[in-house]
Amino acid sequence: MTRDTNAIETRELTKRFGTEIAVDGLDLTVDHGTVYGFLGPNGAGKTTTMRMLTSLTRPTDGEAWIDGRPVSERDSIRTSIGYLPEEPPVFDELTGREQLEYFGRLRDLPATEMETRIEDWLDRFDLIDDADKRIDDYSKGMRQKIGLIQALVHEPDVVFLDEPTSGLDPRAARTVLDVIAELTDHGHTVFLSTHILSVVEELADVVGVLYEGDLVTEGSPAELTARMEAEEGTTLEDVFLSVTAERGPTASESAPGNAGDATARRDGRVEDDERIADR
Amino acid sequence: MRRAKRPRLIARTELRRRWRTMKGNTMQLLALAFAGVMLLPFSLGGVFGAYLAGGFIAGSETEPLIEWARMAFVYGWIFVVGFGGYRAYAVALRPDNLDGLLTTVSHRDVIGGLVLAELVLWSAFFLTVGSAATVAFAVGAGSLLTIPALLLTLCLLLATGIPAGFILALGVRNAGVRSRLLSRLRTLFLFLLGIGYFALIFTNAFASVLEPIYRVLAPTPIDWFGDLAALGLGIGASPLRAIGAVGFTGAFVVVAIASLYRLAAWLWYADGVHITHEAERSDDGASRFQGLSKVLSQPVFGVVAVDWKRARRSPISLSFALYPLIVLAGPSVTAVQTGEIGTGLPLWILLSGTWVSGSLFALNVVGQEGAALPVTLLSEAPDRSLVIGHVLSGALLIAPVTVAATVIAGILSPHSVPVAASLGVSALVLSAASGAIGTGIGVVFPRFEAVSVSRSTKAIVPSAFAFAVYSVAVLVVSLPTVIAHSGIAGHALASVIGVNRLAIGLSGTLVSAVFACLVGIVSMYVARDRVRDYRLG
Repeated sequence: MTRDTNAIETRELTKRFGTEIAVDGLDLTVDHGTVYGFLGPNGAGKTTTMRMLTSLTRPTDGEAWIDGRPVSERDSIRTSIGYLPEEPPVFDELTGREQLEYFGRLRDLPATEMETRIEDWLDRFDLIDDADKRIDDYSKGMRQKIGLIQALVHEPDVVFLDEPTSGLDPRAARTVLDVIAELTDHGHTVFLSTHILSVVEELADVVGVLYEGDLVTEGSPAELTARMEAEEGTTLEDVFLSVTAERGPTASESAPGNAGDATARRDGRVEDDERIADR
Repeated sequence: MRRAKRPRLIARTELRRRWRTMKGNTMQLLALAFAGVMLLPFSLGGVFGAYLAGGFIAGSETEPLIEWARMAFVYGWIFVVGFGGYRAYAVALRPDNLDGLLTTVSHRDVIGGLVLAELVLWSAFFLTVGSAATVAFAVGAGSLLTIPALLLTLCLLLATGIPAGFILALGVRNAGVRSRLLSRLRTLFLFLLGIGYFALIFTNAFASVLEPIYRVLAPTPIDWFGDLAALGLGIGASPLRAIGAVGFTGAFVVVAIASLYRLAAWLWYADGVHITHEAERSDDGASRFQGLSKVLSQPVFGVVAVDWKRARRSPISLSFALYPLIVLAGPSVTAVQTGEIGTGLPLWILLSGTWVSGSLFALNVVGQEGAALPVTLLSEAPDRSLVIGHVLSGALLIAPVTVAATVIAGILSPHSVPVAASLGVSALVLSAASGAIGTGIGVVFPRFEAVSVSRSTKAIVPSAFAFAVYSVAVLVVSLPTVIAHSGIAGHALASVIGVNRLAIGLSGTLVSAVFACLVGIVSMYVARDRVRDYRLG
């Protein structure tokens, strides 16, 4: 079954590991050509969600589509996605260029086009001089850059990036942010998971905050800060801290604005109607 | 891209990566060279043996040669499946960067590439040595038709055996990731399997394991490979069975490919069981070993308690220290088989206990601190606490067991009770001193990098060189005790010197004790100096 609506769509997407709920009935809609900033504290279920959306993990319940194609059809979505996991997926024994050529060939890119693209990306990320050194000898930032190029070299429609600026120096991080902005200009969709809130604030069209497997708030950065109804100068960080605060009377009382609405039930979970987000 | 092109690319890259890894690792290169040197005479002998076998077959009219040929190929198939399966389990089915691969190509391409890489590796050996042996055999038998027949059979053997090995390995891995029990006890299972394997080697009992497998496979088409290989030899090979072998291979490969795809998908997309750790009480050590905390200084007790806690929570990290126990396999099996404990067993227990005691915690005093090393070095007198603490951790844990086992085995053996007591004293001194011996060696040849000790566990273990030097040192200081208490040498010494066996045994104990203490003290001083002056590179 294919749907010709959104770049990413999930309906009641759920993942359980035994009795543990990692992602609980996630409903998401991400438009083409946008950046979706996916936030959440450690262990919130962000990586599990990305693994489900990239077909690496089977959902326990619910459905998800990439470019209208269900994620259960791995072979059909694989060509549409690029994925940079938190740990750059590189082979230490290969050189940077060999790594990129390997994945380019596996992606069936025409040889000349592949070489041109790889050269362009290496140049863009200032890696030309080191391209023929083994990845063994690369710094963390260089490995990250190779992983990012690998996710982008086949020009996928939807790119999943898990902490893409991790380990990068400010200049390289800026290059990555510029690249992400350009991707959306060209109609690509970026699903961006990061802890660096300023990155999301700058790039994301829509931000979703996942907490204990629930999407506790969603909206544009401006909408989210506006919802706080707090004093001027409220930032995305304030929103994040408020919606991911310990769910209890003390925590919620201390949170500014509407955050108090995110009070928890005794079982520690928030019901849909109690979320501050209007999705 | 054509469907077969991706697996070929994956296989080529896998082989290139493995070769580069090997090139960069001196130990692996040496091991490869050693294996090559060892295999060369066997290979040449095998080729010559094939020539002789060919000649024997040509001149024989009475032997049931076709039965032998069938049996040989069934056993050959079992060998390929067994070792192919082991390699698949231990090496091939653990590709790096699996997520990257699976979001780029299908799992079918990945498993296809991995199987292809193994096939190439096996073929490199089988089809080179195999070709030479085939030609020699054909020349000996005087039958040219044998060359293509044998080579084809070898190819079919690999084409069915390697995938079958992968299927077995995938089956085991799938069971492992789904069963909580198997996940928890994987180390124990592998350890028992290893012990069983060495026990089979030491007791020459392979036949008793292989025989039932052969009986199961003999009535199957695997038995037909012998007929295909023997075509042209005129020893009664059935052409129908030979053709059947080819047809069977085709069918087997089709079924195997489908099974490999399915099993690989099950494995790589499995959630796996989640082993969660219950909250640990941080005062575990203190409450359990309260007496010890009163005797030892706080820093030393802290090192001992942490060593024991880490060992209890991650015993697999210390699996390297169990290697010496392999020497116990042979004498133990013999004791079980004969129902008698010889004079040698207590000595083997003493030796392996001493070996383990020193290597467990003391053989990488600096390196095993890992990421905590900078903080440890800035603590109060780290040289004293680390060196003494790690020595005591091993000695307090292993020495009592070693002494008790040595004395009990000594009493049950033909040794007299006083000699058994002398052995007990040796066990006590040596197993207590071996840690001290290990400390100096460990700081001179440390290892700081973590290595994989299981699929999901990395640990900083002592360097191979430190382990080798330590092993030699322990053997040397133990030698007087071993000689003095061994049946033949001890008796000979007693006769030559003209004293009784107890005096010889006690002398051996005394000399070993003096040696061990001297070497241990020097080694500990070296360790203390190195730790005290250690600077992060």
